[in-house]
Amino acid sequence: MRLVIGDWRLVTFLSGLFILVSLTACGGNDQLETEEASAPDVPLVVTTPVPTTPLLDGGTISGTVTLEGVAPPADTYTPFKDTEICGTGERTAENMILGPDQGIKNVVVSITNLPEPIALDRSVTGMMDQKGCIFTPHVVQVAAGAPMTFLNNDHLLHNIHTTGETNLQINKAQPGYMKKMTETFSLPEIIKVQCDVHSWMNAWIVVQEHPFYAVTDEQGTFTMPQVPPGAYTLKYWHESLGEQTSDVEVRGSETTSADMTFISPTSP
Amino acid sequence: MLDWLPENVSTYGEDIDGLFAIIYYFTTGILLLVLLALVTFLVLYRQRPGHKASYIKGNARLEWIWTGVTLALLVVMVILSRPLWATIKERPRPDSSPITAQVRGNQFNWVILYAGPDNQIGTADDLQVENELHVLVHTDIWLSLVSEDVIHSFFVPQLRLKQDAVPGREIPVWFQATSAGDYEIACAELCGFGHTTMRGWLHVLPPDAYEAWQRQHWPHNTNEDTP
Amino acid sequence: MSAPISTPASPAPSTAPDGFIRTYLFSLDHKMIGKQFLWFGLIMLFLGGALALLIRWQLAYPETQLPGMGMVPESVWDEGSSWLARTLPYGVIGPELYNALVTMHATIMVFFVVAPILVGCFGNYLIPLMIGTDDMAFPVLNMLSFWITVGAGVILLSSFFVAGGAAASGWTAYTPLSVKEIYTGVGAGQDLWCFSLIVLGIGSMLGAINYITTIVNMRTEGMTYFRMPLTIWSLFIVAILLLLAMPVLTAALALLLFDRTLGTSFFLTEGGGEPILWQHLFWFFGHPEVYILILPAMGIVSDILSVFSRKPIFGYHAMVYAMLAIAFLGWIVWGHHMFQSGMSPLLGTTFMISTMVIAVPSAIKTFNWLGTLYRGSIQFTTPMLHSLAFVSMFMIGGLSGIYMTSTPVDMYIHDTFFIVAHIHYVVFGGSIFGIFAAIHYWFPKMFGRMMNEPLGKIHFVLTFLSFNATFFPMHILGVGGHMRRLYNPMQYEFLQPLQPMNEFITTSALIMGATQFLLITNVVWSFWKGPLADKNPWQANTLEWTTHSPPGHGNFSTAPVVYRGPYEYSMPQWETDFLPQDQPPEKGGSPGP
Repeated sequence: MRLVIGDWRLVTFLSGLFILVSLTACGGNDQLETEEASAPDVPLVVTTPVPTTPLLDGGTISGTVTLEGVAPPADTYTPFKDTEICGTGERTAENMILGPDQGIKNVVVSITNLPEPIALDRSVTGMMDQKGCIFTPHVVQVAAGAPMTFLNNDHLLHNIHTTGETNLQINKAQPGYMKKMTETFSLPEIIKVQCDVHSWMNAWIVVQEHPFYAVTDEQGTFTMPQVPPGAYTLKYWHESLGEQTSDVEVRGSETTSADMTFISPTSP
Repeated sequence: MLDWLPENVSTYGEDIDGLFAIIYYFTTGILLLVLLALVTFLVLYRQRPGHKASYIKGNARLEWIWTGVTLALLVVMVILSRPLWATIKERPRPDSSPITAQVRGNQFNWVILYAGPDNQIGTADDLQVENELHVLVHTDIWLSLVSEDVIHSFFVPQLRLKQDAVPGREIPVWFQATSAGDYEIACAELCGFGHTTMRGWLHVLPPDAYEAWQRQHWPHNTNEDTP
Repeated sequence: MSAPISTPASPAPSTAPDGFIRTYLFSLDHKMIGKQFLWFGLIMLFLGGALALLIRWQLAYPETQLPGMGMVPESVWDEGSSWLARTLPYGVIGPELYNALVTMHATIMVFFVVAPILVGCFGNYLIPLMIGTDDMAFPVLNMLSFWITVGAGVILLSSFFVAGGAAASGWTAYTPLSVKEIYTGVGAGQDLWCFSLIVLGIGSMLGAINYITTIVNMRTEGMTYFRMPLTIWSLFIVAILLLLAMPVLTAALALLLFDRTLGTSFFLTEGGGEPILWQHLFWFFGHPEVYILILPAMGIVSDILSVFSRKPIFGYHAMVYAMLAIAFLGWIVWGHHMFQSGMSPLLGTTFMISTMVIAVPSAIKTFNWLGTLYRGSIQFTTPMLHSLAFVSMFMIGGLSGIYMTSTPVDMYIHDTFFIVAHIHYVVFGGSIFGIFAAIHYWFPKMFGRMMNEPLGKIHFVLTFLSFNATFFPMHILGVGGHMRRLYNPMQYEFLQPLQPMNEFITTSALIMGATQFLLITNVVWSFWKGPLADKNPWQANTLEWTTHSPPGHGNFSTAPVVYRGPYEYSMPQWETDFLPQDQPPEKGGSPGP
């Protein structure tokens, strides 16, 4: 098959057509925008694990966890990335939040030696948000094997990087358009989660296998209702202050007090 | 093509741009010559009635000539490139130029650890800042590149500077900025899904602004000689 | 000097016709195996190309939903556990998928398209035919080589469907990123990537043994080494390169797998290992690998240019020596991929020197191609057009390499789109145009039918234009500092002026992708309905054109005897402008060198 002059006319025509198409194409394409920027936030619904069958005739453990000694200075940080959403200026970290009477917030109190297992409802989804480049809440509870949903109401690339010791570590991107991402943790553990992109962001996920976990509030108080009567060892865990234990005796329909004190690491 | 180069604000950056231009003119010239020859041959020697191809098997002399010329031009390229490369990457750090900061690549931020007034990394007056590198203009600045986890690459386009940060190594890097301003730092080695977010800022400051910045962070320092 | 004639180590062909499985699936006939490699390679080409278009979409329109994804019901995204929701959440390419796309696009193109088509298809198909023998030395090994390659491809593609997705550390898999799952979130996908390439390496090495043995032992009488067409020379050299280079990759992959699964620390500093060791091992393989990708195309194009200029190849011996020089020098340039890696800068200088030197043989070849056209009688057939594109596009790719060889300039353009432009000009502008040329040229021989010339020319023009429109602007992006493997260039102020160029490139790439349907149409239509082909439609000299189109089992009814080289075109005082290698001199033709 040899060159035929006629071919060149067709070729030239097609080349011209191609160039025309390319020029019009680069003139301006509609960007198909996702609706992320204008969409409303996905609401954050903070849950606590519930047992499959309701507990009855139990006692209540309640108490206050306080810090003794001079309060250590709080960690501070300044957001260094995506400041138009994360904000500017120095902020206090959440690793040592104390109430007016030195009550410690975010201490996780749990029963360590429950004699019989009490099943949790695995359909209750744990939830945590990334908003303003902070994980909210700072400590969240979820049942082992239940879905744990991470919301991203920041429209920014965050990532979920967990460094549990018994649960498999995960490191997954959560881009801005990914309003929610769900993972599952199957072993009881308190897992640290951080964002590598905004490395000041961290939080804790309490993966529990029974209902008797409580997290202290701003005053450092906690309540654990409907505990079956018996003698238990309680563990008090705080991300900066470490762990302590104490023993309690629970009687039906009564409230047992279980205060705890952490000694401040700062010398006076 | 050369117009697309970003603004150059570094001393050796100018030399790099100069070398780039030489290579650009050289390669573009060769390309145009060869393409011209190609198109000319295609037109002149297209098949047409009464025109027969010539039975030419080669020309040894021509082969040696164009081999030699090509080799010579490339040797020139090497001779031009070598000294600049040595200046940029093999220059030993003089004692008079202490390391201003350790730059640590980290998934997914640049962690800058300023040596502080004592010019030592790892002492009490070190200051850690993420993604913001402040340096003085018109001075040799030395950095030490390290990596926390995977290989990153410290890239400042306007300085024409790029160096991989490798875990297990401390790699010295130097530059001298010729103009004050804010220049983006990028990561140029795929380091994970957050690679695209590893963006920082190089703030090149004139002397008074730099001193003000230093006083802000080391208020009790009276040493005037720190870079 | 006549070559010893060996017989293939296979049983004598049986007289009963083979069934479907033996004829089409597990054939021992090199011609069928060659065609199997072609179909496999073309399917992978479309897959790899589709991945590239996804990459381009993300670069032009970051974080924008893919067209068509709007039809997926919202519940799929909300529910979140389907493969689609996990891989492409909300129909948008995320950063993890993007890294997997760049990795898998390159892996597929380099290992499962260019090498299988150039070496697997054309090597298998042409070597016995062009050297005048009836099959490869080891037909069973040949068949295994193909199916092992397919197995490797299946392993690789399966990695898209495992938890964590496909490998996402680049086709170069730099350590430690590729070692620890926690760095990328990719688990089994990276292991499958390693396994796939180890398996592929086995297939390649078996093929290489076969090719070398066949060429050394089975050349027909009169077919001296310097009467072999350059196509065969290139495949011979490539087979040797494969045999020597693949084991290095296999070893490196094994070490990587050990670090990933057995707790060793070859590449991890926390155990005393060295991340840069991976780069040395990978590129010690990787650089010969890229010559493996280009040399067969160079050989093929040399032959096609000669046929359609009706002229001997200019400087045949020089062309052989140039290929040998490229192959030899290719072992000592690997460090030019590592100038900024933290490797000793002084060592970098030695690699700069060796890399500058390796540019010389490629330049010689380019001048010789021009010399072949000089005073020829040029026919602009489709294979010729693709070959001419090869010469010019490879030249651009080669010249862009000069920038990178200069170590200080490389400091700026390393890991930018300038490198991406270079890669694509040599591998696409070079190898793929060479593949298109080879397909159009040998289609009549392989399938007994002619391809459609006008459609071939239209495909060529549109591909050529859209190829340049796609990849030339990438040089500009690189000069502007645009990094590669970058999920979202909009994040950077200095890149924002370049964004319109990213959009232009994407548009051109989409057009280029669409244009390839013309090739598929041509191939499929011609396969069924093309006009029947003669033995020698191009009036070429090499031995494959002396037998039927397609050749029967055993290729030649009697073993050909060769009297001259393959480039005796337009001999003075000869009645035709070509003189086949096997035409006896008694008929008046002079025996060539």
